[in-house]
Amino acid sequence: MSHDYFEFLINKKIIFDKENRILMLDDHQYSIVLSKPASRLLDMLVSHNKINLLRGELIKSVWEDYGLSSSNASLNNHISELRKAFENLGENKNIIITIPKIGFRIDADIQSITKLSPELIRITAQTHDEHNVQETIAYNKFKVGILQLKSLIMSNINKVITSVIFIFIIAISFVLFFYTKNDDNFTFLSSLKKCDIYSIDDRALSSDSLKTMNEIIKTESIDCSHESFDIFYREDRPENFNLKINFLAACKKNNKLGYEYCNNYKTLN
Amino acid sequence: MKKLILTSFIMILLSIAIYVYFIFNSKEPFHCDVQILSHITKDGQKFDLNLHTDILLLTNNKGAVYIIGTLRGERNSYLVSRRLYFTTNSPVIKNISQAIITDEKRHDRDNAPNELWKYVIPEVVGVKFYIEVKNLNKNAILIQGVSNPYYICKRS
Repeated sequence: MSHDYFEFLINKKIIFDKENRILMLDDHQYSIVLSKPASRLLDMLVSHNKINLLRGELIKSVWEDYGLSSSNASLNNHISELRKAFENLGENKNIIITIPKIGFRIDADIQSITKLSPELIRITAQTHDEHNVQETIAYNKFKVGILQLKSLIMSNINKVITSVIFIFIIAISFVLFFYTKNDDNFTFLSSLKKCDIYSIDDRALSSDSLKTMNEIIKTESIDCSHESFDIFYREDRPENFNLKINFLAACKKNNKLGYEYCNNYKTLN
Repeated sequence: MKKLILTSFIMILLSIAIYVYFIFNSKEPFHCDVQILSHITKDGQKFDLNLHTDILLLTNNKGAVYIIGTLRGERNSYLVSRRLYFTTNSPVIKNISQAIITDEKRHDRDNAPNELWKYVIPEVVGVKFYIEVKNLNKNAILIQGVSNPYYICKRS
């Protein structure tokens, strides 16, 4: 074991991040921040795994070397803090063993890992098939990439959620716009004095149809000179004289309300 | 992660709510009315129709058309006063629903002959047909069959 490493994997499931004083599950789902002395104490213990450490050694390394004074009671308190942390992470609190009248010892499977790729090390440690090392590394790199992406998302979770909500609102706005707008497909044809003329579909009208429409407007005395109308026109079955239908609707415009009234004129042959 | 799951869950619920809203909204009840002036030429005879029509579409897929007016021929003049009751299904295509006239009630004074009336409303009681209902501008509604418009009426 070396102090050069930043993190330790304890019993293959708990990561000790010495630099940040964090003890966490290896999936990063749950973490506990340790006090500074507790962190230094745990560092001492994991760095001397399965070795009995004297109380005096621990007090010196954890407190006195940092210009602090301490006592056995304080040491016990911090050992207690560590046990509680391990217990909260689902580990047996007896992972730290008390050696009566002597000191303490940690007894665990401890691996030193680099801070950047704890998962890589963990996964590699679980893979003992040396014939497939290249494949395993490639697979692990991929998996670590996924984990890093996940970590990136999780670290920016508020931004991610805000973005998702924003995109969702934009999408809903589009849906609302397209549903609530007039769902007509009326084609504006022309204006006749104060009247606007539309075709009731997306077809343009032939010159004959326009002529017929103008005759209907005249016959039915639709007064485009003095009043504003929207006129909607459609000719059905124009080629079949016996079944021809001319439909014309004149809706008097009212700027505020849309239309005051609509009159329909229908000619059936 | 929990936040993400919760957000996704809320959005799914919201999407369902909006979908349901639009499903129901597409059958938004309305009442509209229109004056219809129609000129019919059949078998060498000419008829002029002048009808005031009220159309009601209710939330339960039921509706009614109230028609009152006159049908004038070259020799005869008839009074029209009748109600048509209909039901519709959910739209099969956007805005297009299947409809069926379930009943027709004629007032005693309605003496318009069926031979002429069939040119006014070709659909008969008990036979399914398709109607398309579209919003038009702020307060008008186009109601049309597969091949020709029935009405453009003003929402009341």
